[in-house]
Amino acid sequence: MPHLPHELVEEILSRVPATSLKRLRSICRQWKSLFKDRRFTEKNFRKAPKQSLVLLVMLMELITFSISDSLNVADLSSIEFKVPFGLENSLSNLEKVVEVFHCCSNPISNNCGGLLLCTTSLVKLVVWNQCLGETRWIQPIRDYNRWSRYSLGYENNKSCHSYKILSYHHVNDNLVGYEIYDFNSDSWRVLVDVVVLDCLIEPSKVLHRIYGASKMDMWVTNNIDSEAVVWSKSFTIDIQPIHLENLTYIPSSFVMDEEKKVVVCCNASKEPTSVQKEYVIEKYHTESPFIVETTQVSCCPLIFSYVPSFVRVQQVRRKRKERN
Amino acid sequence: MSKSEKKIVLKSLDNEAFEVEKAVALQSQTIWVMCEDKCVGNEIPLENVTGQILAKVIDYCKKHAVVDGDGDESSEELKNWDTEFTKNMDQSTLFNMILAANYLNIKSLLNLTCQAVADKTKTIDEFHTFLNIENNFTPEEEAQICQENLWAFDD
Repeated sequence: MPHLPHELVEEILSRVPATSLKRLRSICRQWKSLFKDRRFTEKNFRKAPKQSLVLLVMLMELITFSISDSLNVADLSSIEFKVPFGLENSLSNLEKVVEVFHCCSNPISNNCGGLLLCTTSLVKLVVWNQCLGETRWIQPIRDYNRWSRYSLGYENNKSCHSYKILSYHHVNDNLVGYEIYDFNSDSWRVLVDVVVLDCLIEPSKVLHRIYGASKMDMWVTNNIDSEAVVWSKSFTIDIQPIHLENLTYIPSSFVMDEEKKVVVCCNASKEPTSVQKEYVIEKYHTESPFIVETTQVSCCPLIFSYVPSFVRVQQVRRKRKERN
Repeated sequence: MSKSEKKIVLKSLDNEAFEVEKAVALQSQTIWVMCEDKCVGNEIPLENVTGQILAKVIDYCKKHAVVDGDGDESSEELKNWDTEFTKNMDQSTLFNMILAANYLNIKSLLNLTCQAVADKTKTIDEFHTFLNIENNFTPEEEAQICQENLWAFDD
């Protein structure tokens, strides 16, 4: 077998998906430290094939979900929320993910791919690389309430990507109280001036419904890197009769499998006879025969796709100079 | 450009000569620079590539060259051709292709062959063997890594 020089081995490794790469940390010291090198992790994020997982947050559980799974909640396996050893947080058994606000799985955002921004049951914010098992715990600026909203991004500064979290909340349908958390200084400040954050959600798939229409269209693009984005209509689903009364109804979150023509939607639906909101997960199989599976759950579910990566969670900057 | 200037001869390590269209050969940045420098004649010696590998590299370059209307194949077709091209290569050939692509500086071929190795190498043992890597962890370090890997769930 011919011997490959180090830089070519690195070329190969940068094309191994993160989920496989994590096992290779145990091969040798050089590889273990290579996988911590930011230059390498960013290259890996650009070049390796994206293997996305579908995650479902429900009843304080984070669940891996395969689009071909049944919707029987009991069948789904939850991911234990594991906190890396050595961190001050020894309450890990009690920590449960309550909400996920931001999932950076966007192929164009090289720098925060694979990071989840979640709140946990002990009212802390956590930025989590689920593949690496790295976390950073952040004390929110105010007590969490259900109107609090958070978003993760980074300042578009070429020399160093400093992560920030934008916090805001609703009061009487108005957004108020913008505050921003800086990962470098580990502090919150109230926003007065406008800051542009690259906050990206997965923009390659869109669900579109014309006001009052009985159908929704799935639009996809494969080409979000280029300036002229071309969208094409992939397939159409019939909206469940239960939602038709709500003329502006659109699912609060969804994932779709373009090949299998399956869409899984999470929504709050309001029975006409009841004042209480009900939460449902609906799975639309659009290839004939057209089937919709529905499961009711007791609190608001969220479904999203997640691309594991080796992008590190930015920790509090230490005084000593970082290795280049 | 006269007819003779359109052709170029590539000579392998084991003295095998390949006559190819210039447009085909110039996908290699290394050959391109050599031609620009005019320090070589119409015959270019490639001291790091064997004839067997060079033949494959030329196949690839021919397929990817845009020569007088030949380059109108759809990208889908090219992709399929690329997949077939590396599909049946053994690990040793792939490594030699990587070395050749790197030496000849053909970015797309380097990308293709590195991705093929990344896709074909699955287990830790395969990585150890193919890349000739020795495990230099102490047993304590290894135990710690096992612990760390527990955090991340399996796929």
